[in-house]
Order: sequence, then structure tokens, then C-alpha cells
Amino acid sequence: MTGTEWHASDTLLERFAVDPAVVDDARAASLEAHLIDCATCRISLGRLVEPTVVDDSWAQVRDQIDEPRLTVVERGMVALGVPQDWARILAATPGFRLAGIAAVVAALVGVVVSSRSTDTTGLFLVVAPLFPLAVATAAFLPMADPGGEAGVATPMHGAGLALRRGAALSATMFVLLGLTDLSIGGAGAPLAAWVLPSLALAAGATALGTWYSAPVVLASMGSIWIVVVTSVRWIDGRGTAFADSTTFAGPGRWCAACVLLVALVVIGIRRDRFDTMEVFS
Amino acid sequence: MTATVAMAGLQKRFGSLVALDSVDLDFAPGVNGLLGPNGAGKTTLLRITATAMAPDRGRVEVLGRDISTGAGRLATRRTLGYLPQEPGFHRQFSAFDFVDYVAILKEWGNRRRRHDEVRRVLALVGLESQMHKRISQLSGGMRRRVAIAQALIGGPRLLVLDEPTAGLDPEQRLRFRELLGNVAEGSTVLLSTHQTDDVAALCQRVVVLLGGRVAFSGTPAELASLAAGRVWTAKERTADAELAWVTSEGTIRQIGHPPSGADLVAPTVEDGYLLLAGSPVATAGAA
Repeated sequence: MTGTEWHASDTLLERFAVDPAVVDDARAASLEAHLIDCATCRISLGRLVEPTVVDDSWAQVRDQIDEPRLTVVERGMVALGVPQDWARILAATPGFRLAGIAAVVAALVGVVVSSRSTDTTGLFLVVAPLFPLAVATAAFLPMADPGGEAGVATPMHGAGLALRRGAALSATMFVLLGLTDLSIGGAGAPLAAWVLPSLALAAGATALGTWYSAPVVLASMGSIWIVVVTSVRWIDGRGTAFADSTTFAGPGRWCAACVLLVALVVIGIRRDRFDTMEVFS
Repeated sequence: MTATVAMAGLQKRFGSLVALDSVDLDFAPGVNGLLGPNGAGKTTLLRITATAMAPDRGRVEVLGRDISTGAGRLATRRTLGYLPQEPGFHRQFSAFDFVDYVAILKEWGNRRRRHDEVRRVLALVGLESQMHKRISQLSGGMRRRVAIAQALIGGPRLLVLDEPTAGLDPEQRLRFRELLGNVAEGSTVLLSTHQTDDVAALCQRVVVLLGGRVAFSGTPAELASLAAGRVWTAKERTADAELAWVTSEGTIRQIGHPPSGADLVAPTVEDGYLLLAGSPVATAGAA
């Protein structure tokens, strides 16, 4: 029992089966409504449709269902033009997880609040380079990758992937730091005053990570930075503002640029270490 | 038969601990089992073979390519499936997401083909109906199967499996044996295990590592034969027994130097392994 007294012609069904767009809208809508009720025409249509078309159609439906849902970070990257597969790989970087980003934003808000309330804008100059340092350590930890050790033994794993992740994470970090700098009305020094030390610490940590574990690198580089900043300021004279301290002025910037250069050379020479799970471990 | 994996003079230390000491081994197509107590160097050997770790000294070739070079490592990774002991899942991923993520890292760029492959390997391990569940919601055995699935992506020519049956229930272990029997055809499988019955059932060849050295290399039957004439049962423990335990029949199965007139029984792979691992004399003599 089909519930209908008429049946669509084979010609119409064939045209509809091959490409529904070639049937005019009114007729196509009528045929679609009829097919819902008429089992005979559905069977006829099924015979006319190429099996490959059906398979292809089902594959598309299945793919839509199985397609992994994009996270907020992935969506942001895709909107910026990053291919979807790369967005997934980059967003899987531990530092890009929402908890990590939230922690960084909270810390930067803390910097803004304390800078305004205590009128010590130089605080930003001291702490800003520590953020890329922490981020670099998180970006390159192979064991923190969602693929874990299994991800290490894949063709895409290596220095190229690690550096892409580092670059993506650093770019995000520098945008956040730049916004912080703006929100406190500038740290009383040009951008280079904190950008160069930040790059030097991040690259230095990455280079050291080819020898030492992440906690050792993080603790030693962070300590060295704090000791250098406070010692140089003590030599400069206690009353010297951070912005005027040698660390953030010309000589300090040259020093940071040299550290950055040496670190990049070391990373280039020891890039094979990024191929295994032993980097930062 | 040509070796798929050839190792020569392999050494690896972690501080003062020698994990591997002058290991020379070849592995041919088929299933090759690694036995040894904890800390014997099995995981280190598998990690080096899977290019996840570099040796301090020595040379490893996979399908004729030196994996200490960038090109050799890349070529090896393109033919490799690796199941680590602790896969380290991103728990917010579903089983499908995780395997899909590893497939992306394995250069499966075409999304349609990649998704088909992900569905195929998840079906192989019997997870087709659970593939969209978050990994954090899966049982330990199911997580192990997800990890096995990612290792099977692309039908690798070399499959490196570190304790693949750990956490699987008896039925899943039997299914895994069946699966491995199918996928291992034409490939080389290296698997480490503590399950001697898995070795007896699956492996054409078995290597026993003790203290980072190769203590035995041969067929499971040859490993079992190490204990020939040295396994017996009795109602009471004999003084000369190196190892003894009560069986389900209530008798005491013993390994060591049997007394005259002892009721000798046919040795198993486990007997051979226990004799080897528990006896410094046997360890030094075998290789």
C-alpha cells in the first residue's frame, strides 16, 4: 500500500537521481513529497541511482557525523586562515589549552592591577620575559603532546613541528603582553626593552632543553633572569627605575640579542634532539 | 630471511644505570617477542627501534635505513606503528579524535581517506560503537584498545608494541592474538610482554633480556627446551628446587635439579624463562 495513485516516470526519476538540481524547484519539491509516501517510487529511484553515488552520499553523511568538533582555539586559528589539520596540531600544544591561556591572562591581569596600584610600571618589564620562557618550555615538551609517546614516533614530529608550535604560542603570548603593555600605558621603555629579553629567554630555554629537563631549564633560566635584573639594578644604583636600568637599555638589549643569536645557532645544531622524546627530559 | 630490524652494539645509559649493554639483534618478518623482568631494557629497546629515543652508541637499521639520520628516521616513521607502554591520552579527546589526531601526525592529509582509516582501525579493535565516547569515559581495557588502534593506522610494515595485552581481559587478549595474527602477515612485529603464554601462542621468535643484555634468542620451543629434564612435580617441595609452586591439581611443580626418580614433566616457555631469569649460571651460558 503506497497511499498514492500515481507514480513518477522513470525519466523524471532518472533525472532526479543523477542531479536533483536539473529538475525545476516546484517539480522537485512535489517529487520529494511524493517519495516520502510512495514506496514503489522509492524502490524505482533506488534502482536508478548509481551505487557509487549512494556510497559517496553516505560517506559524506558519515564524515559530517564523525568530524571532530573544533575547539575555540582551533576555530580562532581556522578563522585566521590556518588549515584545519594544522589548527588541530597547533591547538593541541599544551600551552594552548584553555586552562593554560586562562592562567596566563589571570597573571597578566595581576601585573596590570599591581602596576597601577603601586605605580611600579617597571614590574611589567621584569615579569614579561618570564611568560614566553614558561610558554617555550610547555610548547616543546613532547610528552605533553596529546599523542604522547605515540605522537613522537610519527613523521610529522620533530624540530619543524616544535618550532611551529613555539612560534604560534609565542605570537599569542606577545599579543597578550603587548595588550598588557598598552593597558598600563607603556612600561616606560620601548617595546624592544621587553621583547628582546623575552625572545632571548624563550630561545635560550629551548636551546638548553636539548640538554636538560623542563623543570631544570625553567628554574635556572628564571633564576638567572631575576638575579641579572636585580644585580644590574643594584649596580646602577638603588633609586634607578627599571625602565632606566642597564638591563633594559642599550647594552642590555645588545646582550639579549647576542643570547638570542647564540640560542638560535644551538637550536639549529641540535635540532635532531627535537626528533625524540628526550628533549626537555 | 632478510632482517627488517638490525641492531649492532646498542648501548643506552640513564645516569649510572645501564639500560642496554652491547645489544646485537636482528628481527625478521613475523612476530618477535621480548621477555624480561622489569628494568631489563625491553622498553628502552622498543623506544629506540620506534625512533622515540636515540641510543648512546650502536647502530639500528630498519628496512636497511640507518635511523640515526634524519632521512632514515623519517622513512622508518612512515612504515611504523608504535604502541608505547603509557600512551598518554588527551582525555578530552574521543577515541575517534585521538586516533584521527595521530593519523594527522602520520601525514594522512586527505580527510575522507583518513576518517575511513580511523574507522577501520577502531573497528579492528572492536570499538566501532564506542568511537565517539570521550577517552576519560572508557575503561582501562578500552583505552588500551584505542592505543592499539592508533598503532595500526596505515597497515605498518613494522609494528612495535610495548606490553600490548596489559589491562586486557582474557577474551580481549584472545581477540588481540587473532588480530595480531592477521595484521602481522608480511609485517614485522616486536612486542614486549610479561605473559609467557602470549609468547608461546603468538611469537615465531623470542628474545630474553636480562640486565640490558641478550640472555636468550631463539624460538619459543627452544626457550622451553632450556628447562627440559629440570621440571618435575611432587607432593612436597624438594630442597634442590630453585622455584616451586602449588598447581591447581594440588601437586608442587618444581624447577631446578630434580632428584633421582622425580616425576619429570614437559617444560613450558614459562619454565624456560623462569629458569633463565632466576639462574645466573643459565643466564651467563645462554645467548
